[in-house]
Amino acid sequence: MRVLQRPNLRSLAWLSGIGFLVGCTGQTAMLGPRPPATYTASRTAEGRACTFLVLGVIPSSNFQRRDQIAYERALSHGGRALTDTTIQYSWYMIPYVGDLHCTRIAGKVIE
Amino acid sequence: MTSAARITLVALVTACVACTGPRIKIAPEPAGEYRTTTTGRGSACGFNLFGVIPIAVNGRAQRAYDEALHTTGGVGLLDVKVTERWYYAVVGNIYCTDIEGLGYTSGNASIGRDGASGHYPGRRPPELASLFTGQSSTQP
Repeated sequence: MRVLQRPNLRSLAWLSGIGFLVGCTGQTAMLGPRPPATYTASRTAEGRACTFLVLGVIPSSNFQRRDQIAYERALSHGGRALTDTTIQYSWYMIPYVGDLHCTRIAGKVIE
Repeated sequence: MTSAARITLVALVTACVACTGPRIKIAPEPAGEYRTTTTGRGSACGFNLFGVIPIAVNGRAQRAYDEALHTTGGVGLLDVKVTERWYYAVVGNIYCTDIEGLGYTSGNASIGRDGASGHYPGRRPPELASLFTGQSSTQP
């Protein structure tokens, strides 16, 4: 019994080690720049971006740029930057397909 | 089980396995006058077990922000940068959030909207103030 267990444990350890190698770091997104000396921020805006992690392992295109895309979408109707910025993450698990990850960014628009 | 019931069950399961984290204010609007402190960095991770069971996943942005803010000693962050990381761990995924920003404190402004260049016109920088008052900045 012990002879059979050892290879299994070793395989699991290897699998775990390899598993940790599969990973990605997304692009750094500037989501809260310092407001300029003078500005008006009379309206709010919101942007959302969702990307897919196929089978929980394979990132779809733009998966690493999700935050930046949401920020750009918030400013799609004009404005230089956001201040008073909030961020919200959400995820949805779709069985046998993968995970959908979303980022919502909102804030006051600096005109 | 009929096919309609199966479809309904799958739809329900799909709809239920989802989670939305809280809204985190990562870059609060600074007051009219503020003084910058230091750059701080915070990091927090969560684990999504089997892709279904979230363990500290949804609050990671808040924890990363709190850590960064604590590092700066300020009341808020400016120039906030966010980086997302993830790792596959066989039985689930690890999701991490890194937040970096420049801390600021309100009041007794050395830098503000009217002087956001970082200079101190007509004022002594706080770190040099002790030299003029004769106080030592050396910690015991």
